[in-house]
Amino acid sequence: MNLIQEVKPKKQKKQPKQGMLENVMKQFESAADLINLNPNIKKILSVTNNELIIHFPVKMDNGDVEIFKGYRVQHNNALGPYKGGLRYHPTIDIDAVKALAIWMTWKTSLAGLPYGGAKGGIEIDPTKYSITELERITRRFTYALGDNIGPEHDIPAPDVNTNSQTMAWIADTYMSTKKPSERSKNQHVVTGKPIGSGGLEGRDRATGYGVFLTIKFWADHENIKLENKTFIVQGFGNVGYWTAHFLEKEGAKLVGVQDAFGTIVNKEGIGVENLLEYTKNNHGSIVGFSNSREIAKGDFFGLDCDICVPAALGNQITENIAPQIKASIIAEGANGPTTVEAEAILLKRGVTIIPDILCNSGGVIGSYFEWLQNRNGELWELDEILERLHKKMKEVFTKVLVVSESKKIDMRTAAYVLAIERLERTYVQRGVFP
Amino acid sequence: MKINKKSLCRTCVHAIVCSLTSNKKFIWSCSEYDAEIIENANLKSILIPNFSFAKSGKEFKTI
Repeated sequence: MNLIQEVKPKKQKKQPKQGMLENVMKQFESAADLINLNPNIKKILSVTNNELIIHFPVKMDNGDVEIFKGYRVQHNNALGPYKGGLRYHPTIDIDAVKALAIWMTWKTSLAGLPYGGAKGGIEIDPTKYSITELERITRRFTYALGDNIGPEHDIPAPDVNTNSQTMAWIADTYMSTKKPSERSKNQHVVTGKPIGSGGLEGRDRATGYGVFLTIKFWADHENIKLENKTFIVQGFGNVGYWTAHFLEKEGAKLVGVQDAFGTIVNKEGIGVENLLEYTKNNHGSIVGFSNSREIAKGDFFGLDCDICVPAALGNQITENIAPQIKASIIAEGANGPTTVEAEAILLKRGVTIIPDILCNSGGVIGSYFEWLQNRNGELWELDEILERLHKKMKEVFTKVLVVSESKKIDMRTAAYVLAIERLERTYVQRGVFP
Repeated sequence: MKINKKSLCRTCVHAIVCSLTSNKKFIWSCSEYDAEIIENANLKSILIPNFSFAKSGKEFKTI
């Protein structure tokens, strides 16, 4: 089949799509239209390669057997092995997993990694199971996945309700199914492992450091010094904290933070490390931190500042919030924090948005480094890892900026264009078998 | 407060008082998501009894 040749339009029954999957497909279709994506390649990228649903039994602590439902969706592997997280949650379903798998394909493609996109998980409320039950559930799921995952085929990572311990169980189970002589060369079947079991130094800060770097690259490009610039952070979890940590190190001043418990401000600055220490002794909450005052949650995004970092959850900056924003740059540490309507308002006002797909890609790049480290039998030191992350993020950021400026499009559209064009190029070069 | 059955908020301990958003529908990623009971359950397993050297009194932090 000649991929360049135009295809006859074929009437296809439109599949009803809902929620997250519909949004992801809309984003893809608008970017595909913009670059005039080859229709044959559009057909390939519009569907997932493999969708696996597994029912598997596990013996509970009381001797009963329960049946669990697990998923693994592999969207596309044109650029390399499938890559994506595993989440344990009762709300998981095939459409959500498909959407997240597609999203991973764009993310890995944009980051220039040799990976495709996947996602998976188990439909389970982990709070209802003991740790030993969770271990058996994880190990039995890994066994049931069999060779549908693998270090050169599909590499899971932590996601909601899974962590480095879960990854250690998966790696151990997967390796145990291999011949003794081959076990150690399968350690990179998962990333996000504990440091003592092949995990990466600094994996905890990779996403936050990446968010900081994209802000720094933008500032350098605009000839702006971050010193004394003010910033606000929504979410003081891993991404929010590490972004704030690196911005503060650069001389910027944290003037507002919002977490699940409340919103605190101080025009004179909030010490990032002191705040972290405070939250550790205050059930994770920022509220009540000394030298700060609490404000109403609705006033957060309207705070006077230079940089705004939404690092908590999606759909936070809406069309009602957008006109209130004082910052000149928004760095999307979270996934999808800005709605389409809000983005249009902000762009019109001249606010720069560093899109999530670029801004928070430090995490998946960190995963790639862990995979490489295991694959090459190496142990990398923290300084070396941060240096490599800096180099990789700089490459990707520059590419997005160049496309954005040359095509006169916003950075989000530029990021999607780059991600999809990379996949298109690969398919054009290698064709479709047979 | 309406929590969609497909939202992460459904199992988040902060959902009722959460100040991040009043829209608890279709939340699929959140830095503040916390299912506290898991952490409590994990605490029970800090001592790993099925390793023989655990008898020596060594304790392991949850990862």
